[in-house]
Amino acid sequence: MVSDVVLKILDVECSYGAHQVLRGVNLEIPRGAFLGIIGPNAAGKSTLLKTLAATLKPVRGVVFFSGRDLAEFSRQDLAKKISVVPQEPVVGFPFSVLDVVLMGRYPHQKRFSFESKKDFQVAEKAMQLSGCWHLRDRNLLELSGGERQRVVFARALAQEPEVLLLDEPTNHLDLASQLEMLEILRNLNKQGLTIVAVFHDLNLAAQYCDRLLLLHQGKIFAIGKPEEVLKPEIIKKVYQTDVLVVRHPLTGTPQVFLLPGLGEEKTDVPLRLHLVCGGGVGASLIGQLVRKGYTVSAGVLNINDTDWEVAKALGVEVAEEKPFSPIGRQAFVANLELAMKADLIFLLEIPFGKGNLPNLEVLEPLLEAGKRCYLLNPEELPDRDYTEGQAIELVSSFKELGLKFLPDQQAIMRLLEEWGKEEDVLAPAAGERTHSSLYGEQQG
Amino acid sequence: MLRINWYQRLFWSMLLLVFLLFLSVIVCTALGSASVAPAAAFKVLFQWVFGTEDVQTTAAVIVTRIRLPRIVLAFFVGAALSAAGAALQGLLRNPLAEPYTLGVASGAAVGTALTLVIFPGDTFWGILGMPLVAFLGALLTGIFVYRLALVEGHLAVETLILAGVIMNSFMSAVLSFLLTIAGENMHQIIYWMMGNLNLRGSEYLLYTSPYLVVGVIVLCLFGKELNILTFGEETAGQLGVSVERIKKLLLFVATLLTGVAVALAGTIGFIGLIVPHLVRLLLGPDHRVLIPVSAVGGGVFLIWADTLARTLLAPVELPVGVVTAFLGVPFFVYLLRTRKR
Repeated sequence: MVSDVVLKILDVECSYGAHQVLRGVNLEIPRGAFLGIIGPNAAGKSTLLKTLAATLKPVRGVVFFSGRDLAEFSRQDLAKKISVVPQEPVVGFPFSVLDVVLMGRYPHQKRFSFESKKDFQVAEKAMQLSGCWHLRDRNLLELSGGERQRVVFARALAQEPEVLLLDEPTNHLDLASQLEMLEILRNLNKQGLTIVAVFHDLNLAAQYCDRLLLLHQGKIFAIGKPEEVLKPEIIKKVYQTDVLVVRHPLTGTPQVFLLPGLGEEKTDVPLRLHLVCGGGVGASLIGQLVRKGYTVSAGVLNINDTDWEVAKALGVEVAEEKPFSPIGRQAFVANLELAMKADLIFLLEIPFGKGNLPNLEVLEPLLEAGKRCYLLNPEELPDRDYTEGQAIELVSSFKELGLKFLPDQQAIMRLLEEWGKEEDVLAPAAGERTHSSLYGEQQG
Repeated sequence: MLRINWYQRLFWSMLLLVFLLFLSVIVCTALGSASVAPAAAFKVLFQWVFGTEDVQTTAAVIVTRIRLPRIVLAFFVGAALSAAGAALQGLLRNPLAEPYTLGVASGAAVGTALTLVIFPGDTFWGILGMPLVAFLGALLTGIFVYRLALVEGHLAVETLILAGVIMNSFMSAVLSFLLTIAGENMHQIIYWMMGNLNLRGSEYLLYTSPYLVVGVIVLCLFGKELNILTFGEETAGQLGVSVERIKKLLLFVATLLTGVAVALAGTIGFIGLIVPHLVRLLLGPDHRVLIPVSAVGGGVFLIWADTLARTLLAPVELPVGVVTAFLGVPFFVYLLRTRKR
C-alpha cells in the first residue's frame, strides 16, 4: 500500500484570544490511517480537529492537504475532501432527516440546482450505512441525541470525503450503538477512508485506532501504536492518575483501568513486604497492599503474566523471568535479594511445578537468615503440587526452619493490622513456637 | 406536513397564493368608502390590463388611480419585509430576528425622518432623497450593529440581537428628538412612524420596485445556503458554504429591502415575524420554499391589512402598522404558547 501523507501539520499554533491552545504541533497523517486523538480536558483535542478541518485558522504554521496549503482551498472544494462530525450538532429548525443528509451533497452540487438522482442515491447509501434510513421522514427536533448523531454522521458520509474527522463520535450513543458506530468506521477505514477521531474513552480508542496521539497542554506528548502510548507512566504524567494497563483478553489491545481508592486509611506502619506469587494469584493483594501504603516487592514473575502486569503498573519492584520460562539462576538471586530487604515474606497459594520450584526453594536461605516467612493455605498444598511431592517435602523441612502458615490472603491483612498494634513487631522471629500449629500465627 | 419534494411544495403553494393574490386585488379594489361592485372592479382591471379602457368613469379612476397603486405598494412592501424577515431568521438562527429586532428598520426610520425635517413637503430632494437616505440609515445601522457584535472576527448571534436592541433604543431617542424639532411636520412624521401606505405616490414605487424585486429574488436564490446556515456557521463552512461572503451578502440585501420598504410605507411591524412563522408552520423550514412563499404571502397579507386599515373606521383611516400589530400580537402569543407544548 502506498502510504502517502494526506494531512500534514507543520509547526501549528492556535489560540482563542490570548489563550494559547496549540503550541507547536507537527504531525503527518498517512492516507488510510485511523488516528485517535486522546488527552485530558482542555488539552486541545477539538482545536486540533478544527484546525485540520480549516474551521480554525492557525496563528502560526501551516496545514497541508495532499501537499497543498489548506488555506488555498475554497470551502466548497475542501468539503469534497474533508467532512466533519461535530460533537454537539446544532439543531435549530425542524428539517426532515432526509433533507439534512442531502445537505451533505451541497459541495457536489452546482449553484441554484436541484438535487440529482445521484445525490439521492449517495444520501440513501450513507443513511443505510449509519442506520438512520428508517428515520428519513422524521423531524430532526423529535430525535434523540443518539439518533441525531447518526443523522449528522450520514450527512458527513454523503459528502463522500477522503478524510473523515469526528469529535467524540460515541458521545451520545449507548453501548451497542457505540460498537456499531466504531465497526462502521473500521469498515470505512478498510475501504480506504482516512479517519481522525477525538476520543474520550481511551479503551475504545485503543481498540479501534491504529495510531494514537496523546495531547497534553497543547503539545503532542506521545504518538504511536496504542501499546506505545497507553503506558501507565505516560498516563500518570498526563492525567495525574494511577492506572492499570492490561491487555484485552480477546484482542490483545491495551486496556486502561482506573484504580479506585480503598476507602481506608493508609497504614502508618512502615513495613516492607515481599510476595512470592505468579499467574494472577497475587494481583489483587499487590494492589491492596500498595494502596494501603506498604512497600511491596514481588518475584519471581514471568514477564507479561497478570501479576507481572499489575506489579509493573503499580511500580512494584519485581524479580522477573522471561515469559513462560522456568526460573533461572539470575531471577532466583534477584528474588532472594529483594526478599532479604523485606520485613515479611509471603508465599502465596501458587501451584508448584518443576519450573517454579525455585520460588519455594528461595525460602531456605531466607529462613536461615531469620526472616519471617509465611506460606498460604498449606492444607491445599497437595492439590497444587505438580512436582511429585518435592514441594510438600520442602515445606515440611522448612517448618523446622521456622516457616509459618496463614489460611488465606485475608489473614495477611488481619496479621498486618495486628502488627501495627505491637511494639516489637520487627524483632527477628525465632522458629521455636511455630511448627506445632498451622494457624496460630496471629499472636505473633 | 405533507411529505413531498420541496419544489412540489413550492409549486402548489405558489399556485394557490397567486390565485389568492388575484382574488385579493379584485376584492380589495372594490372595497372602500366609495363602493364599487367587485364585478365592476374586475371589468375595470381587465380593461386596464389589456389597454382597452377608454372611458374615464368614476369607478375606473377610483380603481386604477387610487386603489390599485396602493394595493401594489402594499404587496411590494409586505413581500420585502416578509422575505427579509424569513432570511434573517434563518441566517441568525433566531426566530425573533427580523428587520426591527436588528435595529435596521429604526435606522431607516431615522433616515426618513431626517429628510422630512430637512426637506419638508414634496420638494425635489425630499422625493428623490428619502428612499436613499432611508437605505443609508438602515445600512449604517446594520453595519454598526454588525461591527458591535463582531468579537474577534466572529459574529455571535446573541450579541447581534443585543446590539440590535441597543441600536433600537438609541434610534427611538433620535426619532423623538427629531419629532420635537420637526415643528409643523410633526404630524406627518408621526403618521409615517406608525406605518402608512398612503404617503407615497406611484412614481416612488416605480423608482424603487426594481430594488425590491431584485432583492427578493436574490434571497430566494440562496435558500439552500440558508438551510445549511441554520446548523451554525462552523458546520455550514464544513459543508462547503462560503459563510462570511454569503452572510454579508444576505445581510446587505435584507437591509436594502428594509430600508426601501420603510421609506415607502413607514415602520410596519410584525409582518417580518408573523408571515415566515406561519409559512414555516404550514410548509416546513426549507428556505427554498419559505422565502418565495413568505414574500408572496406577506404581500397578500399586507394588502388585506391595508384594506382593513382604510375601511374599518371609514372615512377615518387607521395607520396600517396599527392593524398589523392588532393582528400580529395575538397570533404571536398563540404561536409562542403552542410551540412550548
